[in-house]
Amino acid sequence: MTLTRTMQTNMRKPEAKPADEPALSLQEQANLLNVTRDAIFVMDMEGVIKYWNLGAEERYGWTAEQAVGRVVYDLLKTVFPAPLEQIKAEVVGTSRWEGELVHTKKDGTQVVVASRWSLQRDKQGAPVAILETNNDITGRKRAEAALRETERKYQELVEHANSIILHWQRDGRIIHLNEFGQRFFGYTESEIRGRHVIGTIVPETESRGRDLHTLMDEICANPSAFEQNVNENMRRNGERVWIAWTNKVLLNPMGEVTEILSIGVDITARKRAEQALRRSEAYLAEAQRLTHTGSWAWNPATRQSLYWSDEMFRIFGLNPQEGVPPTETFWQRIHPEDLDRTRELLLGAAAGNMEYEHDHRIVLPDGTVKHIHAIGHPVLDENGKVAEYVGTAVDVTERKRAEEALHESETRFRTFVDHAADALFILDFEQGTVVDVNRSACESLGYTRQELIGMTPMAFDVNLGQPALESFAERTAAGETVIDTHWHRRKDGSLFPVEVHTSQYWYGGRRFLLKLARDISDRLRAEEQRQRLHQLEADLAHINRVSMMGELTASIAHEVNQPLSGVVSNGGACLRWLAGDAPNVEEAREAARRIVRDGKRAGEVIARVRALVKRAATPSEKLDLNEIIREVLALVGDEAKRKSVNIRTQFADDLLPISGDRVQLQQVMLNLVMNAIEAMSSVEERPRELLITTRNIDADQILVTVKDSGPGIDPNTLDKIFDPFYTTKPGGMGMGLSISRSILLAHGGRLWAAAKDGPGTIFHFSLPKYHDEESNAAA
Amino acid sequence: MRQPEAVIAIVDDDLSVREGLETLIRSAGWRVETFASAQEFLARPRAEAPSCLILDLQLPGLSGLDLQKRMAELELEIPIVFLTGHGNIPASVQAMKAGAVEFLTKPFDEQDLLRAIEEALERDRRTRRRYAEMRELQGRYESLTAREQEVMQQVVSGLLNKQVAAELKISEVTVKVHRGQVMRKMRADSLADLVRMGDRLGIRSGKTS
Repeated sequence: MTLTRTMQTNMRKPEAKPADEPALSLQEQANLLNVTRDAIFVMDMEGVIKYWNLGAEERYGWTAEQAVGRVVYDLLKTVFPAPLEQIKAEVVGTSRWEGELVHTKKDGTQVVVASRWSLQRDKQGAPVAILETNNDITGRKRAEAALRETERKYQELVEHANSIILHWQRDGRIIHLNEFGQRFFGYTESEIRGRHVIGTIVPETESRGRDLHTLMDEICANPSAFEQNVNENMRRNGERVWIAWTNKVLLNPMGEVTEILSIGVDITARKRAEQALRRSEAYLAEAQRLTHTGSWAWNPATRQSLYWSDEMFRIFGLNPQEGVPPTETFWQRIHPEDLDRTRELLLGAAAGNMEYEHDHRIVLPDGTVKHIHAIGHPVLDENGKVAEYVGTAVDVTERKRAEEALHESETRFRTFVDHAADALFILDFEQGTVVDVNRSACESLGYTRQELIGMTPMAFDVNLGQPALESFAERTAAGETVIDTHWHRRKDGSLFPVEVHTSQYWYGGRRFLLKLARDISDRLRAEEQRQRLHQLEADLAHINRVSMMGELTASIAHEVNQPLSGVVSNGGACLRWLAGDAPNVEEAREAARRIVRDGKRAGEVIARVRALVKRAATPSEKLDLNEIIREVLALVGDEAKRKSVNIRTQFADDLLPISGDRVQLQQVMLNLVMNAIEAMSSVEERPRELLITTRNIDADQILVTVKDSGPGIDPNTLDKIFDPFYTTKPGGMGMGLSISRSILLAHGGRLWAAAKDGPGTIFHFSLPKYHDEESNAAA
Repeated sequence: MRQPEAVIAIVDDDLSVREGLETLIRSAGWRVETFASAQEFLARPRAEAPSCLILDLQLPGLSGLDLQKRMAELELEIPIVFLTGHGNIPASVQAMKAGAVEFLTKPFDEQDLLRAIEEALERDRRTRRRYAEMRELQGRYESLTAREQEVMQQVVSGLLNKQVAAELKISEVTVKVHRGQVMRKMRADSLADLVRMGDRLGIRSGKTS
């Protein structure tokens, strides 16, 4: 049973729930609507009037009988602000519409009404009718128009005023800024309206630190106290401006402040001028303090001071609060030793209307002595009489002390410089002449200081020509200290070697060259001696090598001769045993056996000697030939310089390493270079040039070329030059090239001479590249 | 003209050289003795000296030249043929001055060596003959009586019979008899012959010598 009812309930069609509120009858509702004076009417969706209240009858002059059943828009000749269909769509969509409509009354007059539409729906929710209420706003509209006109006039006044006019709310929001204000601050009306004054035209804080937030709050809290105020404002571009404001408070009917009207005048320029003046006064005081300069004015007629600057008081140890001191006090401060002279000079100058400049000392009560540099200057009145003296008093105590210290330090430095062992020359960079020298320079060259100053260094520096001087200038300008060996000439003409350090410095806007010259005669002598010893050693080593070869040869000869003698003897004997009628075969066989044995023995000796030689000549150091050549060139550098030979090198950066005996290969290079230098000693008509190049021939060997500009080699003797004991040199042993060739052969290389276009000789030698295994280096 | 009895001594420290020389010299028909060092050679029994010494210049210990000097001190007069590994002029000059027969450089020519040996043997023969003659002469001289030796000394010094008589304080006739005995015993053909013998014996009267 229960089940059947439930099913019946569920099977029923859904229905809108009846309204809970007690429903009023339509008549009741209409009566209610008649109570109000507003015009209220109901129309169906086609605009046909269904209901027309009393308010509507009064407003439009049509009775309900006349109106109901008519289309409302026709009846009232309604003017819509938008197309009717659009308004209807809005009503259907949102159930309401509001707007101003113009209706025409029965008598033909038009009224402006504020109209409110409300949609009525049936129980199914479908739109059935529209309730429209109208308020007549024609009067209000008219008043508004009149107000607008007044406002416009004021507006014009405000906008065209040459002042900033700001209308703002208590909470700081801007209601209006006049056009002048907009131009001044750089905002448009729409940009500024509604924004807070802080952060737009008022900065958070003034440049000098005043918190403007607080100021704004104070103005709002107590506007009467701020009828006038000056504060810093801010333009849109961040520029700070000073504005004098007049503030007028607007109160609401309850007497509360709601809005503020402020009128501002830009006083930035005036403000700046004031600041500049204050600043310049401060600067002057600061300048006086920094330079210890006091200034004063003095009346010669009364013989009393008119004005003392703060610094003047400070210098004289007086208190500015006590006022300008009487002249007596001034005299009391003058140092007793300087008093008479100072008084005489000052009074004398005053009597003669003269300017004066004078140094004197003052003594402070605590005994402090100060040095004063005083200047006085008469100021004439319109009649040409001295109105007053103005002047300065500079405390130069510090400067005096510094000058004394400088003088002392200069003296000390001069002493150092004069006692230095090195000769010191200071040259004027542009003139190239000596500006100053020390004692050592005078002593070493035998000139006096007066003679040397103004001299060109070329007069005593043998190696210094104009080009060399220019090169110095260029190199030292780059900050380099140029170190070189030169020869200096004494006044008596004698020469001595010096090591010169040249550098450049600026002083007082001028450029100078500083040259330090050290006599290196002793060092050179020692160097020469060392070189002679070195040469001797090399010669001895050379002779040793030659004699060792002789000994080796003798030893080899002896060792081989023994078994060879055996062979010869046994051979002879063998023949003898076999000769004659009855040959002794047994003896002959024995002799023959010994021949074989001794022959083998001789062979063994040779093999042993070879092994020995091979071991002795085993060179397997990994070497960079460029480096070896550089070492040799360092050794012969002075020799080449002495013989005026210019050595140039063209080294392959990627030169293959080779293996060999460093000393032997250096000997080869030394031989070739020394030969070349010697060969060029006779050359006078062309530059003596030695060019050494290294390069890789291929992936396995390198080539060294030594090219000189000497007289060259006669092609007929070209093949003989490598023979032992062949020489073209008067003192030569004729072993250099022979040994060099042997050394290179032992290193697996080759040495040869080549013909050259033009004068000179070219020697080439090749060497195989470095291998780990020793066998590759053997001959 | 070979002397089969001649012995050739070889001193060389090198076996090849030593054996080569030995067989070569033997093939030439001589007897050979070999020594590896100078000391070994000096230690050899001295009953019969070899006729020729083939000596290496460069020997360990006593060198060739040292041995030559030593032999001179010992009055071992054996002709020496020097051998050397390489030409050494000062050494060869010294060797030749000290009486070496030849100075050969190894490897030497077979004929040069054999010729040098021949010459050494010839020199040895002469030496030996001289020694034999000297010994004969001394035997004859020793066979003279004391008085006869006195007379011979006076005579070879060139004194006349009369002078000898006065010197020895005997009669001239007695001198003549002694002189006849001397001539006979010394087997002198003439006075000149006797004087030569006196020279070789080194006997002259104390007055003149």
